[in-house]
Amino acid sequence: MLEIKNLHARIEDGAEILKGINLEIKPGEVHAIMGPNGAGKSTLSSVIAGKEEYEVTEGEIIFQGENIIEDAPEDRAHKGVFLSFQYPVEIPGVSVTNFIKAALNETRKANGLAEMPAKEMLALIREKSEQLGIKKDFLSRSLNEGFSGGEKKRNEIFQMMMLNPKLAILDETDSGLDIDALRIVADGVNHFKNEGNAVLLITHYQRLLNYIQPDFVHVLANGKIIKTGDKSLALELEEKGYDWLLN
Amino acid sequence: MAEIAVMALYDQIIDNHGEFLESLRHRFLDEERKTALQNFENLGFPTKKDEEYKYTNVKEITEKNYNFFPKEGHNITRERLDQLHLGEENFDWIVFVNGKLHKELSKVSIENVEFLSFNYALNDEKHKEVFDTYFNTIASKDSAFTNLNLAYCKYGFFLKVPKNVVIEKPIHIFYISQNQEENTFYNTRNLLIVEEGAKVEVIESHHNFDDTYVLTNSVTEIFTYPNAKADWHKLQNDNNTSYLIDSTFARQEKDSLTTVNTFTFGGKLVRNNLDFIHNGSNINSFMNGITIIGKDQLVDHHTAVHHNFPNCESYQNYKGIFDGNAHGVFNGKVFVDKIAQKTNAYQQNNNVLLSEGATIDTKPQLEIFADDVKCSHGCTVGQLNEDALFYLRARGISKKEAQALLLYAFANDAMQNIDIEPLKEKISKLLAEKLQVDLEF
Repeated sequence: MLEIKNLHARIEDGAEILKGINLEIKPGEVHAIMGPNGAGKSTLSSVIAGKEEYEVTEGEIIFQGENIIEDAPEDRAHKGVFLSFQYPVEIPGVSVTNFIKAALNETRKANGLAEMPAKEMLALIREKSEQLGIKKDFLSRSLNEGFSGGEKKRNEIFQMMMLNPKLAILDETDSGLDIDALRIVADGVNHFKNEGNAVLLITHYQRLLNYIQPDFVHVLANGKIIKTGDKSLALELEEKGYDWLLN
Repeated sequence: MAEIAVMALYDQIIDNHGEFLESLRHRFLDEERKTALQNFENLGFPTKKDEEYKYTNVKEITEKNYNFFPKEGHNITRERLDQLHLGEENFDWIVFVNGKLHKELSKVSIENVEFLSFNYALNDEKHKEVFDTYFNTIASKDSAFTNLNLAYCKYGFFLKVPKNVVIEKPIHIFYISQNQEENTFYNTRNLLIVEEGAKVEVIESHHNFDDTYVLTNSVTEIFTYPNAKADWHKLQNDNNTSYLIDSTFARQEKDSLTTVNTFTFGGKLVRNNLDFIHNGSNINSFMNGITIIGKDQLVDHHTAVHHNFPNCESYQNYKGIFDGNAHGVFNGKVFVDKIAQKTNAYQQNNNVLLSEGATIDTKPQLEIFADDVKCSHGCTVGQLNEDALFYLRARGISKKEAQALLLYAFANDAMQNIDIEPLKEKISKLLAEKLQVDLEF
C-alpha cells in the first residue's frame, strides 16, 4: 500500500529533517512509529500527507503503486491518505457536519462519484458518531472551536471513519487524552481497521499500543528509522527509554 | 497659491439647485436647503489634504458629470424584486426606483406605525412636528456630503415606531436605479424613530442595474428611546459603476440598544461614515462590518462613538478581506467624556490581504477623558494561516475552497449578532460568490 524509499526532506531552505526513511506498509497492517522528541515523527506524517512547507530532496513515496511526491495534499486525500492531526485547527462558523459533508463530497467528486444524497449522508453521520459516542449537538458546533483536547481527537477519528481512507496516519492521537477518551478513540480505530486498509500510528508513548495492537514498531531517531521490531519493542522502549538505541 | 481643483460635479451642484427646487411639489424646506447648499459651496468636496479623506480620494467621483433628474421610466417587475428580497413570508419591503417610491412594488403588512413623507409633513400637523423635532438634528452640519444631501434630498424612508410596538418582520428598503442612459446622482434620506420599548429591524440595499455610473449620497438618522431596539443592516453589494457615500447618525437614549451592521461586497467606491451619539446611560451600541472586495474597489469605514454618559458599552467588530488591487480603509474613533465613567468600549479591525496589490489603512483613534473605563482596540493585517490551509486540504478540500472556508471562518465573527437567519444565509451566499466557490458554510 505504502512504500517509502530513501526519503529525505527538509523545511524549505532549512536543515534536513528526514534523512533517508525506508518504510513499507501492506494492506491490513498496523505500524507504529515511536521516537524521542524532535526525531522527525510529525515531519514524516506531514510529508506523507503533502504539506508544502516541506521540500522532498530525495526519495519516493509510492502509494498504491503511484509516486505521490508531486501531488497536492487534497489529491493525496482523494487517493485515500488520511492524516489525523496532532493539533486540529479551529474553524469558527463552519459546523462539524458541514465540514465533513464538504470533505466527503469533494473526495467523491474527485473519484468520479456523485455527491452523497443528504439522507444517506445523515445516516452515515449518525452511525459513525454513535460508534464514537458523539452527541448530536456536537455535530452542529463550529469545527474544533472551544473543543477540549479529547473532543478534538475524537472528532479527528470521526472524520477518519466518515472518509474511510486506505491509509490512516494518526499523529499523536493519544496525547491529551484521558483513559476513557483513549479507549473510545482506540475502539474507533479498531472498528475502522480491516484487511484492505492500513494504519500508521505516530506516538511518543506506548500507552496507545495497549489498545491498538501494532504489527510492526519502528523507532525513528534523528531522521532515520534505526530499529524495527514487533509490539514487544514498544514495551522495551517504555521500560528503557530511547537512550540505549541512540548510543 | 491655493489649489483650484476642476470639479465637474461641484459646478453642477451649484448650477442645478434652482431647477431642483422648482421641481419640488413641497417647498417648506427651501430655506434649510439653500443654507445647506451655501455650506456645501463653502466647504467644497474633501480632498486628500483633509485628514478624514487622507486615504480616500473622491476625485474619481467628483470629476464626472451626473444627471440630477433621473428618468422615471423603468421595467422593474415584482418578479425581478422576488430575486432581490430575502423571503416573501418573513420580510416587508419598500421600493424606490429611480428616486421615486413605488407602492405597487412594495409590500407592507405592518400596522401601528407611521410612515412619514415630506408630503405629509407639509399637510399634516402631526407629521410636521416629527420633522421639526428630528429631521436633520443629528446629521453633521460640517460635512460637505451631509449638507449636499440636505440641499438635494427628495425621497427616502421615514418611519416612526410608536411606544411598545414591536415590528416582527424586518423591513427591507430597496433603492433601485434602472434605465439611466447618463450617470445619475441620488441623494437618499432615511429617518428612523424608535420610541420607548419599541423594536424594529431594517435592511437597506442600493442597486444600480445600468452600466452608467450612479452616485448615491445617503444620509440616515436613527433615534432610539429607552428600552427600544433598532437594528439597521446595510447590504452593500452594488455593481462596479456605483459610488456610495453613506453617512449614518444614531442617537441613543438611556437603556437602549442600537446596531448598525455594514456588509460590503460591491461598489466601485464606498465610504461609510457612522456616528453613534450617547444621550443617556446604560446604552449598548453595536457596529459590525464585513468587507470583501477585489479588483480596484475601495471601501472606507469611518466610525465614531461618542460616549457622553456613564455605564455605556460599544462594540465594533470590522473584518476585511482584500484581493486584487483593492484598497480598504478603517478609522474608528472613540470619544469618552470625562463624566462617562464605567464605559466599556471595544474595537476590533482585522484584515486579510490576499494579493500583493491589496492595501489596507487602519487606524484606531481613542480619546479618553474619564479615568474608570475599559477601552480596548486592536487591528491586525495578515495572510491566511498555512497550517489551517493544510488541515483542510488534507481532508480533501481543494486549495480554493479551503481558502474560502478559512475566510468565512474569519469573517463569521462579525455575523454573530445578526438574528435574521435569511440575512445570514444571504451574506454567506454573497461571501461564497465573492470568493468564487460553490460552498454551503
